[in-house]
Amino acid sequence: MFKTPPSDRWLQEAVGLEQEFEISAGSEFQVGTEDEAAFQEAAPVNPLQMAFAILMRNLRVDHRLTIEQLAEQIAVDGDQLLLIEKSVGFKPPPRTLQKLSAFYKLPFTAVVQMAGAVTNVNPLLARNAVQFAAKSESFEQLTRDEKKLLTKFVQLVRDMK
Amino acid sequence: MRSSYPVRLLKSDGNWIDGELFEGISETNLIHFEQLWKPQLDEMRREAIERRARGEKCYDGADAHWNWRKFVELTTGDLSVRQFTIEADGETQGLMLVSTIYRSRIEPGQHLLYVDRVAAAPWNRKSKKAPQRFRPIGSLLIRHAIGTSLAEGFSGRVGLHSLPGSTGFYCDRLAMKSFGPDPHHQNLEYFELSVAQAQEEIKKSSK
Repeated sequence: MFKTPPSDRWLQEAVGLEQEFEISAGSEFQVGTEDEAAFQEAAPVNPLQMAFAILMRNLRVDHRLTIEQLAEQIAVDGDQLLLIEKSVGFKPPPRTLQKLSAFYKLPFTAVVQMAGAVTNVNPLLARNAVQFAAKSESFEQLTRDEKKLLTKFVQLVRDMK
Repeated sequence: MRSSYPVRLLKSDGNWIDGELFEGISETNLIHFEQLWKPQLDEMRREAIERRARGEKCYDGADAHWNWRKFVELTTGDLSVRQFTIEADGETQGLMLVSTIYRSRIEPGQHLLYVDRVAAAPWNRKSKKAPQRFRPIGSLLIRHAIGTSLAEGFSGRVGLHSLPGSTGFYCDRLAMKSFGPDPHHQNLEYFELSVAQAQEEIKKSSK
């Protein structure tokens, strides 16, 4: 094994450089690969935001879109869409919420409440969202019951205009 | 027992402390990664995505998905891969994996040491939020890679794919030759250090 310690002079220089430069090498996080599964969630769970994550995931599956396809269609960073679905507590920027609300034809006010972008939440929405989250799971394909549940909840959200 | 040699690190309070550069990544190092590094890396990654959404250039936490336990499981016993760690203050401060099976692009056919992964603990990276706890980490590991290349008989040749936020170090500080984005490696920029550069680097950095 190479065992030559560096000189003090070199150390001083390196210390200064590391204030200026990041030093890393390897592979970058990629959406749509096994990196997705490896990216673990660490934020505290909010039931309304969990419902939002499930709603976004199930609506996308119902539209038969991958994250990358949806990202392309609504011109939003795929990493953001990934975090919306998998990282409960992630707060997307309003512009992304606007695009999702327009694409899925959901009222923007309901979307921002569910995403945790505002603190004033409609109690009816909160109650129904939590029930929706409790009964739903994120599968690759929606079962008939899940599709029915999704349709019912989406209708309720749309009626909140 | 793992081979090691002492390295001095500058603490954020301005005092130098003794650390150690080890060959091998131990179970303790992996626990430090999982329990101490990972939550901070995930947070860095989340913030970077939010900043990018606001149009800022930010690559922090680009390695948040790396699973060092998996890397170690896959490479332990593989004689072509070597693992290195910097420890100080009872914690793991930096990790690196290198491979000896790659060939040089500067001198086709010649062996080089390929830096497969190198990362400093999240608290040792530059940040606007807090001073780096220990420095230098990445520089010591890259220097060790050059030394390992010499010890392996590769004359100091080193190659690596830089993460986007790190190209400045390889390009401006080490003046490594860039071969541009590599379509076979996520379009990350590939850099190589020549024999002459490596020998100069070790000469000027050693006591």
